[in-house]
Amino acid sequence: MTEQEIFDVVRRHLAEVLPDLDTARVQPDVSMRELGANSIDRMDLVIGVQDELGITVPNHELTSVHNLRSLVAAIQAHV
Amino acid sequence: MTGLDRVLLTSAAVLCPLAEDLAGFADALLAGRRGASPLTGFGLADWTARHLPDDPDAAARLRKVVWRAATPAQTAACVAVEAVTSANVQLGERSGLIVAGGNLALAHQARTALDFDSSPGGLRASYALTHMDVDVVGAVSELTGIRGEGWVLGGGSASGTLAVVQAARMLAAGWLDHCLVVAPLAELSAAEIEAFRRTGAMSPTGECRPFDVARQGFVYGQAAAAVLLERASVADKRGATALAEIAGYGQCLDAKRGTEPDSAGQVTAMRAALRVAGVEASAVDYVNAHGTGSVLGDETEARSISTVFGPRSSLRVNSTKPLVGHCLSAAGLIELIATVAQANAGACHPNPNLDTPLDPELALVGRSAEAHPIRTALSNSFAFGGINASVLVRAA
Repeated sequence: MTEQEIFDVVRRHLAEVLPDLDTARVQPDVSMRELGANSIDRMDLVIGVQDELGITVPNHELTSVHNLRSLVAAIQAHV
Repeated sequence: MTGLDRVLLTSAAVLCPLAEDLAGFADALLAGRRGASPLTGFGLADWTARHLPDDPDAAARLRKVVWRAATPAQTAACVAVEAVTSANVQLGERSGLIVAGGNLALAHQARTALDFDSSPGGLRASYALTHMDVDVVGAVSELTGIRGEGWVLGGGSASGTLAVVQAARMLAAGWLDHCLVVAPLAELSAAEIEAFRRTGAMSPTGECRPFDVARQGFVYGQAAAAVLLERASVADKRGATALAEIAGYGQCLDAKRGTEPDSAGQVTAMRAALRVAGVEASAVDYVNAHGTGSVLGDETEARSISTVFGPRSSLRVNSTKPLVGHCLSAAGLIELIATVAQANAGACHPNPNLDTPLDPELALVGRSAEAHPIRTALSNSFAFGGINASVLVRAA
């Protein structure tokens, strides 16, 4: 999967988790927290993406995630 | 209630198949419209668009807080916001919250368990919150600013009435200035519905016929409701208009497990409500019965009402369940609101499926609405487990 394809999956899951999401704000440099996702929302998003892609990203690889770009990179290492 | 503050009901909100606003609810009841069914087609985004069109910030906040909560929490949030908004009151540290019910999100739990069995990887972390009844406490307090105290009160089908009783006690004692009582929609999964059917308590025809000789059981309905109760001194000071006064209340247990009602406990609860209010049985104009349409339940309650009130042509006895269904833990609250709506309309809604009353001496409302001045009314709720509760309402 390309980075863009993974980014599109993440964007779709963000829209499910967050009501009234301004999709224009969903950019690689923005963080989930900045988009309004609390800690449970962020966990749910990661679980949803992993489940859809059939992968498991170890928790310690997610601790360094600080924006959508680094989240996509962490996921891409396992697809 | 000598020495204690009076308790006023200053705001109410409903969400059920008949209506999603108070005026519409009163009109539907008096027209005898039947809405004893699941609340299909409820959606948070649609509800906020209809109810908060002029307050986009409040609408966005409501969506954000309960967007992925289970249906009970979503419906509770809607009626809570509606009740507080229409009361135009600032809630805070002197305000309490009681959420009526228990095991509220059974369909959500069943769906999640089945999905988890077939696909464990998809289980969301948020289920740690959404499976719990107290998720409603968190959501409603965030949306209303209630910071005093709050919890979930479970009493089966008497939950709504018991919650009003507890709120009234706390207010009368001066522990709180306001108390929001919220009854979320109580959802069942297919298993609970089938179990109720197998007890024989549920109507096989889908028709609810309280106090009729041909009654065959209850019909499951879904509703969410909220009322704001306030100490009279607090409500008067801020110039609030009361819809009614919660003047008395009684509750007791039968000390007996199971599904069978006990007339003695029902009589005790009703008489306690009269005593607390300092009202003679002869002063009661209207009884909103628990009246589920179950064979034994209605017969027992009819006997209890006769014991308390005797044969009296000026009394009217009614059940709201043919119109809204048995809303389980929300039943007591939606029916209290129905009682207040009838008192304020000066009329009783029809009992549309009544053909042949089981007791000709019981002053039942018939198949048509009836003008009837209601100054003092009793609303009953009786639950499995031998829980009896009765609230006495005085018209504002």
